[in-house]
Amino acid sequence: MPRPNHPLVQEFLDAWVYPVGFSGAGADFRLRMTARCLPVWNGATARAVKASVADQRTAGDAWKIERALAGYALEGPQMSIKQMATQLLSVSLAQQAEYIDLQRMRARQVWDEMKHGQLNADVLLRGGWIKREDELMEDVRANAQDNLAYFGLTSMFLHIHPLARAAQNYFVEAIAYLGITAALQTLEDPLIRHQMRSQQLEELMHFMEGKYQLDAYALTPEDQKPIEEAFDFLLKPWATKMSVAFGGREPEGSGR
Amino acid sequence: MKAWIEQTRCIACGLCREICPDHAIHPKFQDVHHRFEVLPADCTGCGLCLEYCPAPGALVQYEEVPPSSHPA
Repeated sequence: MPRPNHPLVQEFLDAWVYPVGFSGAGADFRLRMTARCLPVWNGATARAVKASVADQRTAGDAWKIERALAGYALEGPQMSIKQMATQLLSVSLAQQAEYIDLQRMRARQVWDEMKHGQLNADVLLRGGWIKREDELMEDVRANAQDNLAYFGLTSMFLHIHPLARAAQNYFVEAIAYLGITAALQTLEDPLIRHQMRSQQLEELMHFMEGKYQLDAYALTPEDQKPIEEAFDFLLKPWATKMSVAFGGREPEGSGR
Repeated sequence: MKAWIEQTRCIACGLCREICPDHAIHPKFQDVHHRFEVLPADCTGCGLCLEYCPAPGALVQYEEVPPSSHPA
């Protein structure tokens, strides 16, 4: 018997995942992929709730700074440009007419990601922890992250295809939306809420773009194959431990 | 002189925020539409934002009382 979904995930499923604008092979494929995503969505949501409850009980500002720096690393100029430029360039000039609606969504998403970077910088500026955004260029915590699966679909993904982005939009943006929703239910800090308020709806929008891409474009086995490969990549636990470069521990017996 | 953003005319492009030399312009606090606002304490009144704002009437300067405080 399947485990019940986290209440926030169930709410998300009922409101945004299960209602369909299209019927047919694309929607069927999407619901099959949804079943694969669910364990991760449930786990990520439960962890987001736990982390938010812990942060809410934490005195001082260190956790806010840490959240903002990590958010900037995820969506600051570095990652936004790399991530979205790669996806825009996955469509050749000859294919532009075929995917023009998807290209327009991706071009707009560059700006959305930039806005999220702005908001994380704004937490640090308004909190007085930095004087200028330029200071973040000198801080590795604001420019690097350990999530290889996330980074993989941006600059390192080996199988770039015009439709591969659908998997990232659907799987990763749902996690972002669920995580922010969980945090907003718990965290009262006005600066952190400031950072999340507009981002929450934009993450939902990016998820819905993934939903549209799957429903409308993943119609044949040939169309579905590159998308499913991207799901395979994202769902594979590439990085189960924190890299040593980002503060993880050396493996025992490594001799270092 | 200080700068002030008329929210009904702002198109949320964020150009003012990028070019402000004093980091006085920020995403409006907890605004889901991601518009912008000027923090008066940080604004030196240089007027650079007015030069670059593409939305007519969105950025204005004031001497003492912000336009939002004027009676309608």
